[in-house]
Amino acid sequence: MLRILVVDDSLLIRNSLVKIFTALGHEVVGEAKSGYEAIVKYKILVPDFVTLDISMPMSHDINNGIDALKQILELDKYAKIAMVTSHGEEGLVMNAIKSGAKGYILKPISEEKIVELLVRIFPKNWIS
Amino acid sequence: MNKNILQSINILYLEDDNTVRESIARTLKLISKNVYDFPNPIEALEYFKGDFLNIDIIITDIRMPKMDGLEFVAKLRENDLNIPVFITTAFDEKEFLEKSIELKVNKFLKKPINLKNFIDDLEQILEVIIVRKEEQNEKLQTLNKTLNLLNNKIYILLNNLETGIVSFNKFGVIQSEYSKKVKEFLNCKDLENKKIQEILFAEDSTLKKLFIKGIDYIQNDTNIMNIELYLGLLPQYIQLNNSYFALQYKYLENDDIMLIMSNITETKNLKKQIEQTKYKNELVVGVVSNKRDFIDIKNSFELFNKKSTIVMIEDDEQYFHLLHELHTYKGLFSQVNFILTAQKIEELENDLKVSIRSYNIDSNKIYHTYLKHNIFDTFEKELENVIGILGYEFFDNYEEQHKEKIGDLLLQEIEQLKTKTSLELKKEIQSIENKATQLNYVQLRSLLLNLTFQLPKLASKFDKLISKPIISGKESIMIPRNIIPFIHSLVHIYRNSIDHGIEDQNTRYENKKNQYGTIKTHYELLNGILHITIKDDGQGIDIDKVINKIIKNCIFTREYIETLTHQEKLQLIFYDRITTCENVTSLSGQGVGLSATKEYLKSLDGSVIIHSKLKHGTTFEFSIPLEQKINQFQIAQNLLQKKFENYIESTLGKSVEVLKAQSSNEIQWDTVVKIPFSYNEKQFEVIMAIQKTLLIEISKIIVPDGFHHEEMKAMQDEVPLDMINTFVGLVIDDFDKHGCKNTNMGLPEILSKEKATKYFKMLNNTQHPILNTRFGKASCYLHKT
Repeated sequence: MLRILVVDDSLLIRNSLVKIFTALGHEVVGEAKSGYEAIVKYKILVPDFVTLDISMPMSHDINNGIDALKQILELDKYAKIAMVTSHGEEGLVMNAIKSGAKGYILKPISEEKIVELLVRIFPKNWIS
Repeated sequence: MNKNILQSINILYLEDDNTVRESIARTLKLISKNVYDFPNPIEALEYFKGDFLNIDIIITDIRMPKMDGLEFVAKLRENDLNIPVFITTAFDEKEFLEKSIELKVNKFLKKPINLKNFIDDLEQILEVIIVRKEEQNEKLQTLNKTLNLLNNKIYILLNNLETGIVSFNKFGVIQSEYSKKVKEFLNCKDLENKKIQEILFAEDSTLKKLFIKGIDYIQNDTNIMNIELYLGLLPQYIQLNNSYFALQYKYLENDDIMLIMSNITETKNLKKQIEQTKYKNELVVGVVSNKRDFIDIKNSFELFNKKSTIVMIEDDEQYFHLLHELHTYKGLFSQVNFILTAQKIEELENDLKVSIRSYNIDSNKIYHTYLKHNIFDTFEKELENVIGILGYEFFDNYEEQHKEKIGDLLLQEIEQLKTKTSLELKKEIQSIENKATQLNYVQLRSLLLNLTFQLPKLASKFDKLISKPIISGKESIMIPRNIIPFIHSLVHIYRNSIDHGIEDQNTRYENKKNQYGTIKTHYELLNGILHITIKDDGQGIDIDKVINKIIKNCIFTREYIETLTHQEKLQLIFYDRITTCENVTSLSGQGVGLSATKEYLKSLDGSVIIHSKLKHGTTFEFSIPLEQKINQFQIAQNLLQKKFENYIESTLGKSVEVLKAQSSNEIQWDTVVKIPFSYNEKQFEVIMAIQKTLLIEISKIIVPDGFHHEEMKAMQDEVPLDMINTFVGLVIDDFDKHGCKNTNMGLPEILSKEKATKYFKMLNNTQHPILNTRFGKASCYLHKT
């Protein structure tokens, strides 16, 4: 079972992710609505895995998902982070991977995509 | 002897004496066409680049400048070459004999060479060579055959695939093509050394940029996992010369990338129909499974579309805000399977990104780009698909469910809050309050705009003309959600105005009215009462016609109607199934709509006054009280009382009697406890008073057995504190559900005799229910501090 932090400014996307992770037997230990909140919560919760919306409104000088990604990786260089993204953001996702993201999910989110992502990032213990 | 074979043998001949060499070479050339003669081994080595594999026999002199013949043979033997060797020599150079044997020299030929002997010797050795050569040839031929067959198969296979395969290096420069198809696909005869991105994405600079970025990242990353991720992010589909291609990429060991192109045009067309059905299903599934969210998205998107902010974008901040909003909608729509809308928004996004530069915000251009893409039209088309399947009713009983959801959400958030520190708490509280307000209130103006913006279109179906409906009133006025059904029902008033009020063009002309009818809506909020006035300049209500209809339909008798006031008579038009329109139209139905408005109005304690003047028009004046005066304190007090009762009851396991408060003067309270308590940022104290007898009884139940006397005593002393802690704690949950926000409690405290006296008085002066049990009395109340 993974302890997961879900970061997205849209409640719908957050809820969709929480529903799928929970159904797969994982625990969503926290949700965040902005990059700043994500960093704060990462420090407190130290989750096994983070999903990070690539485009979120700016807060506390954290401009978008990639900024948040970099700052979390500065806190913990082994952090496992996947970007949540829409079609048309491929270039941004490339930047995110270059910065250390371990994968990405293209919206719309589905259980299959999440499983594929988890298998990729946690090849050994993906079976919850 | 096989002359042909003999003629094709390769002879290497080394001799430094030119005259001898030329003469012998001439003779050798009679035997074979392939005679290679050199004046020394070095030149031979240079000519063959050290590779003598194809040489069948070597004839060499010993003494030559630079390298002697035996040295040369030794070199060959080192490389495991067993080519037959003849040595020509002028003398009996015995000293070479030993070495020659060691080097497996086949023959010594004494100079001058006896040609006959030489040919005999040659033929002898050649026979062996020829046999070997024939064998080799045979093997080679079989091998060649197999290889050709294989090549041919691969060739046929690759060229009959509907797949183009080509590889390119890290700059995109095409390295090799593996199937002809790729030329056909790319409509390009010569691919070599061209850049793949220039051909594939000639017309799409965005994709080209993405592609170049991707291959650059790939070449600079050593992590194969990352490389795979990058490959997945490269463009997956392109449209070229009216065909569609799927693109797949494979990373090759030599750091090149293989591109596999498949033509999916036909598949795409075939799939279209299936997809159409599938798409519709998914659309409906997306909406049904996210019903609440979908309606939220729908409403907010409709609002977004109406918002004048799109017209007024003047600076970077507003522009980026717009982009962000668009982006959010794209994500949301794709989540509810509104794929076309999502695509359309993406196109708009891309167009905006290309055409609008941040240092030059052109609000006109933004607005026109926005209009050009018509995202809202696409949305409405998709929505129609959904409505076509689910029907309008699907969205009808939404409001009720929505209320529950708001409650759920708030509860959830508050649950999360309990784990937070106080500073964070304050911020969160603020944001939840904002959210709650947003959820619970809707901008009235946008609702009315939504309702009226299609009225001119509607009117034109009836050959009537109306100008753009005018709505006046403060933009800031927000109304609670429970009013929304009523506001929506106003559509019947509007439709009624168009159908029955506004005259057709000819009549208006005859009556010297402007050919465009007008419908004006005004709203305002006065002393907590919402006033909405809808006014048309049509022909007015023909009361007699209405009354006749009512009588004809046996709704009321003429006698009854005659007792009514003028206003009451006008209001008859709200009654069910009444219409003065001869033909029932889709527009105003059978009058059911107007009665719906009346019903909603009644449920909201609202009222309506109708003013109507024949030939001049009709005005509906609605008044709805908005502020429901709920006494939060009273609610809190009742909740607390109820919880206290439940607590005592469940502890004693018996029902308790609730006495009226009047008799409290005579009650002797033995213990009084208080606990600080706050909600909605207001400070309170909960006071609990209890009689000794009851307290002892409760202590017996809740203090565990088997402890030392002193310990028992200490625990008993804590019983009142524990009691108040428990039931006030229980009440917090209920408070949250009843809209008391940010409930919090402090540490309980037993009051000293003096303090208690003060509270006794209060308790006796205010009227609070007192619980009466077999064992004694208790009471609790909420006290403002």
